[in-house]
Amino acid sequence: MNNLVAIETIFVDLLFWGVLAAVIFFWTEIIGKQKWARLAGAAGMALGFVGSIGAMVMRYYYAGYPPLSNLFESLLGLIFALLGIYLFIEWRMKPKYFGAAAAPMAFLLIGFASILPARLKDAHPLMPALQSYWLKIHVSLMLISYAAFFLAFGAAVVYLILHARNKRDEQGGGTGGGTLALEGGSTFGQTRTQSTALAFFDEITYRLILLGFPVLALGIITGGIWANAAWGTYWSWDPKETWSLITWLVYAGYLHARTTRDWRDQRSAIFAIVGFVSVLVTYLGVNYLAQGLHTYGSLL
Amino acid sequence: MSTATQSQEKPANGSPASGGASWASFIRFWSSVKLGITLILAIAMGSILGTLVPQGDPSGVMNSPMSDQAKQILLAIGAHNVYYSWWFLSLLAVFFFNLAMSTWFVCLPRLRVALKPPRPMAESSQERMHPDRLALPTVEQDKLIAVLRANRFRVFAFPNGQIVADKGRASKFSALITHIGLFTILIGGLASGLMGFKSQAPLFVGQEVPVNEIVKVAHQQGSLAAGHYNWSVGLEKFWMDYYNPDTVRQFYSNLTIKRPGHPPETHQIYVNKPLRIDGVTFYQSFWGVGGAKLSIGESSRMVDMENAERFKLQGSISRRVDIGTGQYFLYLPDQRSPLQVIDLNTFQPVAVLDKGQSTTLSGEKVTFSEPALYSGLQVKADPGIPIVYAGFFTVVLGVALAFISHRQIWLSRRENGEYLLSGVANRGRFTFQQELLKIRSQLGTTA
Repeated sequence: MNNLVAIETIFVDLLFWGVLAAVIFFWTEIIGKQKWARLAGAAGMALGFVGSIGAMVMRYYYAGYPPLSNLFESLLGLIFALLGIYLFIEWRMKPKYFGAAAAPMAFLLIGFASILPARLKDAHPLMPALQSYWLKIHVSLMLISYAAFFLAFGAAVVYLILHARNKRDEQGGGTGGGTLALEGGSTFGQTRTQSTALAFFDEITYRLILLGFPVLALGIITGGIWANAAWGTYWSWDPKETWSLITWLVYAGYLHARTTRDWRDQRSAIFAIVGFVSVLVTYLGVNYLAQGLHTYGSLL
Repeated sequence: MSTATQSQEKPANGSPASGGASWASFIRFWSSVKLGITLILAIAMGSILGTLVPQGDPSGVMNSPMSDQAKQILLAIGAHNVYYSWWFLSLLAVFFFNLAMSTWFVCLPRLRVALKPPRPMAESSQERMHPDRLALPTVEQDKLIAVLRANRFRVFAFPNGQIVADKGRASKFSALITHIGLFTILIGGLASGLMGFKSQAPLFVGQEVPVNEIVKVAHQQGSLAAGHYNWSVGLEKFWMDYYNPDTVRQFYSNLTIKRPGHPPETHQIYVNKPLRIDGVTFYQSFWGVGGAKLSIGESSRMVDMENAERFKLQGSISRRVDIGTGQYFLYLPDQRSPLQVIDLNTFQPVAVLDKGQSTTLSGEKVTFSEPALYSGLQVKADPGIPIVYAGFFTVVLGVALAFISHRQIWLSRRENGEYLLSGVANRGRFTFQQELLKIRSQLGTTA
């Protein structure tokens, strides 16, 4: 058992150092314009990903329950999902600067996880209400949606920074809209300009929210089904429930504003940031706001 | 044609021809997405209030550290019961009205347009309207069509050499399906409220209660609830499993169900495993110490004890009892503590009894057998559940469809035999651009 805890610690260290290295490499990429730095950064993120998997597997193995029941375990799951989505986007689209937004967020989460007091960190046996197969399903769906929203937030911030820089450079030139112009029919491929980067970050924010939104819906719904089996009611306006609904509503507002009124540019990015604040309250803030079913203060 | 860039605030069939301008503007206002967003954000704000102010009875607000004026305002607007306050429910009603209007007057017409095959477009309009354009090498039309089909486009070819293709129409159903799902949840929720009941029953071991009695004390009962059950539920056994002496692993109750025409049946329930019988569901919900089992002299009896909160003994229970000629106060802090006995004539503690211990009080032999635990059942009937769940999954299906991008492309043949390829995607424009490039390279390399 102690050996297993030690191995878990090694994996958490791997996660920590991998992501820290990624942060440094990605910022080297920005400052020094080094191409290799970006690859090294992605490699650091991949190492961190392996570390997060290893740590979760070890905990599942020695604790004997899905590692999703306390704050440390949920942070581990969130980082795992965040790195997974990041690596997928990196592999498919090879965007510039995206790693520089994703890595610091992952690093902050690991830093937060490592300073938690033991009572929120160590494995504890599951209380009766949590002994259900819905634990795996509900919590992992929520964490995947949070991860998508975290990355959407990062992309929105990069968008706003690039946008501000563009504005400064071009003195109010065109916003967004990197286009595939007619290239005389001879050259293949695409030239990446700053405005295509801008269009990319606008697009990726949108798509990440489009990913997180149904997953959040499914997460809330599986939570409702679980609550109906455990407490006899699928919705009880518990603060955490309510905040997850608020988050869902904010993103619903974002999607409506965007798809039907063609809200792009900064307004859309700012909406994404408001959504992220709501995610933070749902994930962490609620526990300080009020006593509810999700704090498991009472018997169940 | 680009549905994404047209002004879409106008409902498609809000024709003012006969009904007059007021009807058209009524529809335009109530079906508008702007109103929808405003209502969504207002509902979110109301919900936030409910997570900041203690919900339930007004005492939560009264006991919080606030000025009296603030408390009065909060109570006046029903902030202690936000989700059932008149204004929150009205907000929901208005929202669903807006949702119905926009589904009928915006979503459906738009869907009808989107499902039509794209119309051919002149080359000049392509250049004017589509930012994403590529010139394709000279290529046979058949081959072009084959490549588009291989990329899973639906292709329409016109005699003049124009080709129109589209893909991902499923995404256009997203809004409609999501909205239908939300209505289904609403209907299910109303069914839950009107046709269901929710009650609680603390049962001691050996106790048997007719289900009708449980329904009678329901704290929530719909006006259309079935309400008549001619059978009973009893508690045969209640126990806990421990990880260690301080940590409960699970709570179990064995329930006996007696229905006319059926042999009695026993079912085990525990947290996360309710029992459902004839539309009534029993949940293991709470538990407590409700009294002490004593034997006094020759007879053994269960002494019902009350919550001792009024003696400032929180969480514990107590009872005044007469034993022989004396009066005694029994006090039990929790289910693992010894029973404390206080003589009410002298106000002196006279005995502290562990489980199974005896003492003599007013000449009678009194034995504390064990604390009497009750198992708290949550009992409810909820015919809305299947409807709500159907709505849940409809919503998920709808919002998942939104991830698909609807892509439309146009190809015009130029005089030199080349094609101009251009198009629009309602989302995923970056990936769409990659796809156009891929199509071109597929044509280029195989030419």
